[in-house]
Amino acid sequence: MSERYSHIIEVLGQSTFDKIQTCKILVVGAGGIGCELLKNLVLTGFKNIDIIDLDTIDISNLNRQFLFRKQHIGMSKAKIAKESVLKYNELVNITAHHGDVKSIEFGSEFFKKFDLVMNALDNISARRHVNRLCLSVDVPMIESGSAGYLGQVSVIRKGITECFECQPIAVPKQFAVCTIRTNPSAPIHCIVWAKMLFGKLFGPKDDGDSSSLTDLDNDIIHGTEELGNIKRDEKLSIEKEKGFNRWVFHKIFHTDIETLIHMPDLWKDKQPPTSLLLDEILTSKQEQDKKEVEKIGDQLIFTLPDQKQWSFKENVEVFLDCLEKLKQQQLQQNGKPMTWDKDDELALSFVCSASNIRSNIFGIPMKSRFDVKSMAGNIIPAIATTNAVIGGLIVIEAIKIVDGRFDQCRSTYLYQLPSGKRLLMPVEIEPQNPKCFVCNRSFITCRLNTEKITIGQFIDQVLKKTLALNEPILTVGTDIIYEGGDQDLSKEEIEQRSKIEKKTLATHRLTNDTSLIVEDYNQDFQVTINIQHTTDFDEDVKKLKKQKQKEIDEKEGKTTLEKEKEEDDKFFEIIGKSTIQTSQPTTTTTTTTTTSTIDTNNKDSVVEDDDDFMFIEDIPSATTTTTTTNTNATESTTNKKRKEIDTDESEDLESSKKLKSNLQD
Amino acid sequence: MTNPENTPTITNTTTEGKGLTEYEAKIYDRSIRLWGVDAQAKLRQSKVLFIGINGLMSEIIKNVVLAGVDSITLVDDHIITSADLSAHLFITEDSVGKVISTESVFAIGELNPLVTIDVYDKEIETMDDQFIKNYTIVVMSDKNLNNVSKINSLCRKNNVSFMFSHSFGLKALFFSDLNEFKYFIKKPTEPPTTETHTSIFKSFKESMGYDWSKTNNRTPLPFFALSTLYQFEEKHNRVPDNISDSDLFELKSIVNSSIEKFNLKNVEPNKYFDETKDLLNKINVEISPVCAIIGGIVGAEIIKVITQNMQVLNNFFFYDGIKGTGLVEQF
Repeated sequence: MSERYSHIIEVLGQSTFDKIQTCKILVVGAGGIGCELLKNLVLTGFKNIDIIDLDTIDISNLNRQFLFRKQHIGMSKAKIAKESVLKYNELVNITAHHGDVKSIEFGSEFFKKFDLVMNALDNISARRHVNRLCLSVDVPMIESGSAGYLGQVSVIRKGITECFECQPIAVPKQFAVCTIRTNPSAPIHCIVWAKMLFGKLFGPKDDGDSSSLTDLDNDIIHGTEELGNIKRDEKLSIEKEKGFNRWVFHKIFHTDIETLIHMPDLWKDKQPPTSLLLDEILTSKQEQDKKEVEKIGDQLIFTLPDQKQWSFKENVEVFLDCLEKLKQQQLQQNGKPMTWDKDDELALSFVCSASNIRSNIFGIPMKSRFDVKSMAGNIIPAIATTNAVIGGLIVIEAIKIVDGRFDQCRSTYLYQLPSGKRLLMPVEIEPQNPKCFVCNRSFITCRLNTEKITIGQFIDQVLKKTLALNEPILTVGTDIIYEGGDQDLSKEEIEQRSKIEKKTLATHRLTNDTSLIVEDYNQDFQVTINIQHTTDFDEDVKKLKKQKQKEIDEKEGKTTLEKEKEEDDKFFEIIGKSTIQTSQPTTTTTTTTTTSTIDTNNKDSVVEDDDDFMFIEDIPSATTTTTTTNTNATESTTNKKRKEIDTDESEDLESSKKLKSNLQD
Repeated sequence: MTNPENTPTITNTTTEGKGLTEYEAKIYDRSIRLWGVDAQAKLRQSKVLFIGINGLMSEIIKNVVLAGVDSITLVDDHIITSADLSAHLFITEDSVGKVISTESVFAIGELNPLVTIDVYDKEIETMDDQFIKNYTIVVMSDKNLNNVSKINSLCRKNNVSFMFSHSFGLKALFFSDLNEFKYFIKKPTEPPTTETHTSIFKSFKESMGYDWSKTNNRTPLPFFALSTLYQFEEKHNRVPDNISDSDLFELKSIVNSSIEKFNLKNVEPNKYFDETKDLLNKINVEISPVCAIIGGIVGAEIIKVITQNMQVLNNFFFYDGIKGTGLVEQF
């Protein structure tokens, strides 16, 4: 054998090294952390490695994903990573899979083959998926993440440590529909709207949220037929004659805005928007260009071309141009639906210009293309140095795991600046949460209005977005009432499934106190949800509540927080004991900005055992299947962990407590 | 950790940034989003000298080259053996028998074609003021602590930033001497202002002579062990031999006399001696995960030193792969 392993054998001993050589590893993700990790693994002597990644290489990866070169742009990350890492050590067997870890081919049978799984992922939904599979086949897993200078590594082992979902997970921030459509107050609201507009104009026809954004042919500004007071925008049909881009511009920046202006209730406390006419803008004088190098004080601030703010007129011109080009592009591809991609220059310019024009209409500051890319693409800047540290820490934990020293495994945090004296902080890993609905199969309760919420909304928002199911199968009693997934379906079956999606829960057997079993074969996962009917989330009830709260607040001299305005959209609540309240009271306020509140205080209403469940009588019903609606789950690149790694302060408190009892220098 | 000499003064400073090309803006997109364009412009004007191109240094070089410095210079005429492959990123089986610095150039160039790579093929003794002044920062990995101190003095004299890093099996450390280091924090006030901070550093030699009585019997083992090795090397002008009984005996007596001199009560002299021995035994032992961890942390520090837009670590860091701790200490 080559002398190349002499150091590692000297440090770890022959028997540990032998285990390293025989152990079979799965690395999920060949991006920033993945590249670093793979290099460390092959140098340390790990020999049997599978890599999965669905992504291809982009130019912005090259500053840190060091296994990739300029000539690899557009190629599979998994495959190139395999090729490149062999240079560091030829004596290894690597299998590269260019695919989605959530797809059926990587189910529990696949996961069973491995002794250890390492997550190097960039999104929560895939992390939750891998967590469930590892628990199901009882394979230990190392979880990791990085954001800027911060990073974290932890170990998950069924029955010994907490799992990835034992603590509340921050669902990526979503905004209320009314904030996006009628009442934006910040640049991000207009950016989200612009992305929806892209989906509406160029995406798939039945793209849930976007399809109802605007109806290009509708010229009604105000009034109803019954009352006979309809006011129409006569100019819309004229603009339509002048071409696609002028038509779209007029509809969204004039007709739709006029409609909003005619809703006086909206503008009691704030300035109404101003509708635009294209001809007026195009004939106006071009504003003075801002200089590329600005001077602030005596300081020269250097900016990139992308950081330069476009003038309003430039935005309008870019918008018209992008519309035209995107339309052409789609025609050339035979009308194939497009998905928005932050790295597609044209798609980015479209969102940037559209959001800026809308911002301008609502008196919101405009943003540069550079900033819009960050916000629209949820970019969390990643750098090589942090990923290098994390890639090393993962292998340190892996060595303990192959050695069977689970008691010595730690969660390690990398800080930007030392906390006390610690830049790297190891803390003991929490034991499993007995109330976790994932690793302990604990029941959860979902409160919502069963008479208003549709099966489709329930599946999309509750099951997929909040509970991270991929292809859910819903069973009540012994009847399957809905089957997700993309199996070979007939046209009729697809139609039948979409029909069910439009039904309310109550009309489809999901009434108050129903015990619903949700399964996902892909994840080898099952959860029982107790459905509870409530009107608490109805608009009028919420309004009333809010008003009362406002009155109380006013009495006490408090001002209503901006955050509270944004959670109007919440239509359900999950009560699961998977979510024990942590010591910091601040967690509650941060979770209120998400669509769902994972309630942690309301312990009384949680179902403790089977006896509390009332099974409804079996009613024969047709078993139906439908296509999965594309939830675009991978779009969000947030890699916040359950304990968010950017909330240093609260974390310090918690972990320093642990440190005192567990670790000494 | 508050530093007494670290009180901010508010001024409007003048910096000039050279433009970045469109290609650079794309390649460095994510890092620009983290540390800003001005910082990226400073990186592409900086020149880094690397002395001792071992596995740990290959990690540091990878990080610094990816970040986008202007140029780097490699110094190390060591002939490659198979054991060097354990943690090295720039050499392969075919490299055995060749000179490590020249052999590394190709693989480094592939990491980032925008960075210029030079090799300095003379002894480190030939480095003079004129030479060292070319560099923004000098980064060194060497088991010979006398060499470390010598290069540190040369850098200090010429006001060039200096860092030393070395790994010892599962343990690793770094030291930095940035002399009088200024960094600038932008404040989003109206008009925008810049806070200027200054951190004062000590030389390696001065730190190694630290008065341990100040640590109130909580003297951190690894730093005490390092200073024990340093005292031996200063006296004998060589690295102690870990299988020589007389060298080990002398190390033990250095430990004991330090304990007596600094009146370190409640400590077991054996613990200090064992730590010293452990470092010495592993002085040539590099493993990949440890090199990656310390290399990442040193890489981040180098970037902070060049970009001067953040607080830096002052002046020692020690990673212990057994406990998993990474501690910053000031001596």
